[in-house]
Amino acid sequence: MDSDVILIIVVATALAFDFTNGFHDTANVVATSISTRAMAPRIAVGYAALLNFFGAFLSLEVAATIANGIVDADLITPLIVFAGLIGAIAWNLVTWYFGLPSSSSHALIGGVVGAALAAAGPDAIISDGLLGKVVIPALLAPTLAFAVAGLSILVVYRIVGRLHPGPVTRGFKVGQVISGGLLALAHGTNDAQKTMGIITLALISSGHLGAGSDPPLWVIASAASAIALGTYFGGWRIIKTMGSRIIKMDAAQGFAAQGSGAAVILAATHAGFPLSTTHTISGAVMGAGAAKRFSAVRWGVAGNIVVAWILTLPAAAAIGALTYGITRIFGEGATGPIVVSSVLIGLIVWTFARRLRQGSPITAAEGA
Amino acid sequence: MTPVAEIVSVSDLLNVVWTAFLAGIGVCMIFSFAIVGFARGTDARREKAGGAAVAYFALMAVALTAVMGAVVFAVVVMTSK
Repeated sequence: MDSDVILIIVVATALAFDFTNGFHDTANVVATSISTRAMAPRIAVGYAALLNFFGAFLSLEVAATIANGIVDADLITPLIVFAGLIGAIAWNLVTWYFGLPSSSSHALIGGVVGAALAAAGPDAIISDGLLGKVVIPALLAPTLAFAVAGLSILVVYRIVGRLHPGPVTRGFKVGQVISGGLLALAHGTNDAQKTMGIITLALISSGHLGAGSDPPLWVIASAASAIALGTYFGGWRIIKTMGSRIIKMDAAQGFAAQGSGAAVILAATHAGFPLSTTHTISGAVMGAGAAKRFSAVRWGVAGNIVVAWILTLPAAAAIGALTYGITRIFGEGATGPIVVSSVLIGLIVWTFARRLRQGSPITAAEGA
Repeated sequence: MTPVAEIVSVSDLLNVVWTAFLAGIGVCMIFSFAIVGFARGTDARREKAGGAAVAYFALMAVALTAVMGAVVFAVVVMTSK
């Protein structure tokens, strides 16, 4: 009975994380389209939400990596998965509060690794998988996106440089609808799978699925719905950072950043690397800006973002480990997860209320 | 200590790198040609240069078809995994 209650709490928490993932990462998908006025803010987030939903059904490669490639599924319990999810949600809320586009993927992986370390020691971690599938792609993704977007915008300027700016801007705004759509599809494909992988891990650890199983259809559909809903409710704080605080973009730069980001994410997803869409699109935005004029990028803001990236894995791991410790004070039953979930819900309400009192940093009217 | 080359599939990583460069730069370049076709085609039509306008609009159509083909290919590649 207790184990079923824990599993239900874990699935609900995973879907809550998926919602925060969509909410937190909306900016990755729509910020450039909004800042160049290629799309109205509400239309942009609605469009992204829809494509996030469909994208989640496209592939299961990353879900398999999360479920079987980073921690030893045989040593993982639903309580560990729960604690890892709390670590990820908590870190997502902290970075949202400060408007920093950090990686939801790394928060999730960090949280689960931290909780697994606290519960079962280093044996629970597949260090080769963590290094090969997470750490190295984490270093590669923003660098690659920076280079691809930088070269792309140079090629674009070379081709359209002598044309009148009016039709060029209009043309690239249309192009941003296409590249933004592809990015949203890639985001849904890459990020929704992480939640699918985590729920699958919980189902394996509770004995409801066999080791190495793919996510069942209800897991895929619910993860797709949660990330799409989160995307629709959009995190405007991070949209502002991504859309205008790193660099003021023109439509061509927006198109190059989105197109290059989508290319990197799709290529990596195809190879089964669960890379961060946030790192990728941030790298692409910086690359598209720096290639035009190096000083156009606000490197102070970019530096803060990089610090948040570096802190994400260890911070989420620490929160995950701490949450596991607190949960175990109440034993192995459902009491611990119920208490921790209640505290987290209280914290979320308090954080939102505090932020609402301070006012939204960007409104739909501003972005339009 | 396990060598990095044994932990990470170098060939997979290299595939990601070249595919990303090819797709990212390729799509941006081809879409730029579509814009060139549209802008120059519009100018040519305004100047009553019918032949040039047709050629530029054909360039736009071919480039847009190639971009849409790349988008469809990306989706097909994803669904094939």
